[in-house]
Amino acid sequence: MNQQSLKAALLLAGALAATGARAEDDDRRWQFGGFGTVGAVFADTDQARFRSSPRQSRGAARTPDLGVDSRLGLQGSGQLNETFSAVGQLLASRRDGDERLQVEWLFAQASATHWLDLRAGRMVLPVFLASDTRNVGYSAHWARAPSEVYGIYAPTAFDGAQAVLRGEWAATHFTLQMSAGNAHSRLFYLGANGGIDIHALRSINLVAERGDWTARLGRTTSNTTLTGLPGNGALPFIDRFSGVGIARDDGRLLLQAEYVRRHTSDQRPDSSNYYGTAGYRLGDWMPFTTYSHRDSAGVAQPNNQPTATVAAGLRWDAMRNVAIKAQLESTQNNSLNFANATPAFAAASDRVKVVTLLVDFVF
Amino acid sequence: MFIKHLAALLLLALLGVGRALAGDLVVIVNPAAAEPTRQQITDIYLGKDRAFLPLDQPEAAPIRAAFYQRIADRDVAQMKALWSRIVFTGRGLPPKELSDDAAVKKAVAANPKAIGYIDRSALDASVKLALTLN
Repeated sequence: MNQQSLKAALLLAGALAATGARAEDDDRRWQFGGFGTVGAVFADTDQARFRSSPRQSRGAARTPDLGVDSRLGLQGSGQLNETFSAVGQLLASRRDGDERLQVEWLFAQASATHWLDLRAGRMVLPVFLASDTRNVGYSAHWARAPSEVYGIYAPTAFDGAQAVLRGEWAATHFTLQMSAGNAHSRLFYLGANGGIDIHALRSINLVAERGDWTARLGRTTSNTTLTGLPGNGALPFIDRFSGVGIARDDGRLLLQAEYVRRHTSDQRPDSSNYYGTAGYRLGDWMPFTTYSHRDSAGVAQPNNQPTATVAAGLRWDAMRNVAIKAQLESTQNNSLNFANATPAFAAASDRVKVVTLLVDFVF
Repeated sequence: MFIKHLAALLLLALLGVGRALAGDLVVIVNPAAAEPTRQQITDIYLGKDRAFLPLDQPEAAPIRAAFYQRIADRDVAQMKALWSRIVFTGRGLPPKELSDDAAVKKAVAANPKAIGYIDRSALDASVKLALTLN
């Protein structure tokens, strides 16, 4: 955690403690919880290392790797009164160069009315349908969100302000999130040891929920710079990122699909990507399958070929708060899902089989 | 002796299961509150509607499993996964858990925004019937 976020965390903790001490007793004023994943991943290649995010500098090959999916999150929230609350989340995972603890979220929230929340601090960047729960493996059916879609926007959180509006119309619940701020993360991309700097971020995210259906529409624009690229070093561009998603879950059959598109002033980082996934619950068991596709140009893809992943797996709700998952996938290098690729591997689009075994838990 | 005990246990278990599966469940609100529709009740307990303050029964209670099966066609583990999605986004807290029918009834009678579910046999005039689930 950097100096600024550390200071913010201490300030917030102090403010919460001071107000909490005066507040009357309520067993729900303070909430603490956590989530985590312990997983092992194998890939049938030694030419590259399979990873779950371009923020990871290494990954799995023929020898099992425990760092690809394993992580631990701790979350605390405090409700000062009817209006003011705060949420903090710490995440330890392999990300940004090493296994370390990072402040994933830390924001103060004012719920002015039941239809409006105002937030300031570090918050989730809502660029995907499941942006806010992608780290909570237990909440999802799959082993991990598909890299073809979820890998292309590296930062998961931003620093800034956000307004959340809620409304109901025609038996449909609408949530509109409007965000503004900055974001940054490391990025290990095409052999580069760099980062992504996002400034002047403006994001709008609309979610509609009706019965078993959820639909999502979003657009995020920013002034983005990729740094540490080989050759020219930095690549600045105007970044326009759009996405639509739809999900249906009636308790038995789960269907979900998303399409995202990046359109930039530079054109080289442009891509359009999608996935579709389905799962069916049979008691404590849930078999699932996912197809994901990435079509990109320029700097993002060395050989400029579309790539795809087919995955199938099984979730088993083994006991209370614990799910065990196995996933088998056939994937191709899309430059987001492999690190340390040999030049031959990077130039070809050979299929690689990846096996994942993991345990997700919440507490 | 052992057989007798076993038979008694089995009978108790059967009675318990029979009661949990066959007993009528009622959803209750404060007498001053407007009655929510069935869809609204489902949305409240799935965390989509914030118009009411939902109350839960203990996690191990058969009435809880029966309630979620009937109102949302979901089991307790699925509900846990669903709420982990809401809790770990700072979007909300799961329904507050109370010890039994009497505690739920008392809380609903005391709060115009509260909503709960109890066994039909515990229903009385301190609360208003919103929905019968059988």
